[in-house]
Amino acid sequence: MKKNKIVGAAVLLSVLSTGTVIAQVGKPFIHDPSTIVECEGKYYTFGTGGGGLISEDGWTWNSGAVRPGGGAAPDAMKIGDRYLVVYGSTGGGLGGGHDGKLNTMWTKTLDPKSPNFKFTVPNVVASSENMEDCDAIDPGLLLDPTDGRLWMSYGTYFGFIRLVELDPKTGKRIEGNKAINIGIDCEATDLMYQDGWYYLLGTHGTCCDGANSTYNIVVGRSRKVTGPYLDNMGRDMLEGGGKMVLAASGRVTGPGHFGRIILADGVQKCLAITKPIWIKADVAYWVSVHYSGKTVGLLPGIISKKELMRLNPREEGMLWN
Amino acid sequence: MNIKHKTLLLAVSSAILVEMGSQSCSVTSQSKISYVAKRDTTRSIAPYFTPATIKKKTPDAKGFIQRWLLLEPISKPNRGNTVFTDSYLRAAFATEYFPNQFTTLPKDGEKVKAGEQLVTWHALESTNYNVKLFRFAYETRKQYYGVIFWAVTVVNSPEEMKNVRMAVGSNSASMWWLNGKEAVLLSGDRRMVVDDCVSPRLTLNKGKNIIRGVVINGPGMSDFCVRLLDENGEPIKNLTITCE
Repeated sequence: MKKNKIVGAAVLLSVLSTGTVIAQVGKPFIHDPSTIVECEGKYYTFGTGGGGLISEDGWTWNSGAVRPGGGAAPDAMKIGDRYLVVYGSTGGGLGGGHDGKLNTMWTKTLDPKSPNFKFTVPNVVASSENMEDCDAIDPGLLLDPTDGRLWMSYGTYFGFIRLVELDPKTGKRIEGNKAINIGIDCEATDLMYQDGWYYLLGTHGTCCDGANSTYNIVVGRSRKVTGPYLDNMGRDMLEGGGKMVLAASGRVTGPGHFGRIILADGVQKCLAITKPIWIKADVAYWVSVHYSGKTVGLLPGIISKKELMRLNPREEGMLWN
Repeated sequence: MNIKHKTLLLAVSSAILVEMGSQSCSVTSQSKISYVAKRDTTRSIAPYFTPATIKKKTPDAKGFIQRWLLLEPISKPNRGNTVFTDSYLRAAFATEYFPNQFTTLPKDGEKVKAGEQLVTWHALESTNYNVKLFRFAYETRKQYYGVIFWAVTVVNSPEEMKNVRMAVGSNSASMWWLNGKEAVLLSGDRRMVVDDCVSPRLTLNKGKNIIRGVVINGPGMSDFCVRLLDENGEPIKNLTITCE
């Protein structure tokens, strides 16, 4: 692992509830954060409404990454030499009707100070109407490293989590592509690929209720991006399955909205939003994942700014053999 | 954010927290229930349910019981589901909302008085493995958040079966009885997961057995799934399910 790829002081979270959660410093306040994206040496995450954070070192965050479109729960990724951002036009669910639209748009840079910080006209790539069994919000993007295809999961507690395919060149929906149901009872899903497996991470429980929040992150995996996604007990995420990844611990509650950034070979950071009970705002936390070979897991301990400590992975971690 | 639950479906006086379910901060605080109702002028329990018939019905291919008598939801406002502790649930489920609620084997269309509410039993068959109570309430224009649902079914067994377990998933909390004895309690803020909780070993009588359940939810998609597992953990399918 290259030391210069270690972004600030990494934060570790013990899934087994004994670890210490350390928030990022600065003003890491955001709602429904996107996957963190690196752009020209800085790190960006976008959130609901005008929310967005920028960090120069991956440790200290400040507001500033505001994207157009408003709406909710964006995701973002770099494809080629530009950046694709997807967001939902509505909040969906309990706040209103279940009509929803998911929109993609491109930008050449995420730096709001750059003259190239301009976004293309949004394309609607998925939608929901009235009371159909899906809310078209909470998108999660995956650029499949095995074949270059672009996928998007979306949906909430209201009905199904669905999967659609997008064109990585245009960001538009592949013509004729039909949405597939891949999960239920969760929201803020994200997709990732590792070591021959596709992983669907979803957030269960109740959000946004202070210390009463029961939000938690679960995962299922499949050999195919189209599923079925099964947890470590063989339960299909279409039947409510999901292996626990992150739940309340210590003085923080309600983690949700998982995202992953690969910093270097063998070093990944996962972002989750959670709410410490001593302040009101949602705070972004990093969760470090280290892997070697085929054994992976969430590791306890604290990583210093200078070096990563190599620790033994646990079976109860996010990924399993 | 808090929204006031509109009285379009039933009179509800409590406020329901709109942020439940993680929706965007950009959502307005004004309820959109009336908007939904205006757009949704025709409602139907299809494709989630069909009226129960007297045709022979077994559990589905995976053993899930799909034929149920469902009582229209009884109002039980809760701003959140974190209150669903064991003690809260035992008190809530021990409360008698309507006469003979622990012993009745109702008929389709039978009405009962639950406090100020007059609610009706419906004999239905779910078209899915799970019973989508939210859809049952919404499509019949009843209250769908802050509610209690009662469900009853009859399981007919060709022989006595020992070491049977009742496997249940529910959204949110629930309690289930077999032949009048408590079988399993699902507490906490739950989502429906297949076989989320299983009962201790039970005995199915030869002939008629009554399964009774109650599901409670604040905000969220009320739902349950029930099947019976044999001592090897395999779903029991050589049963017939009736409403009487």
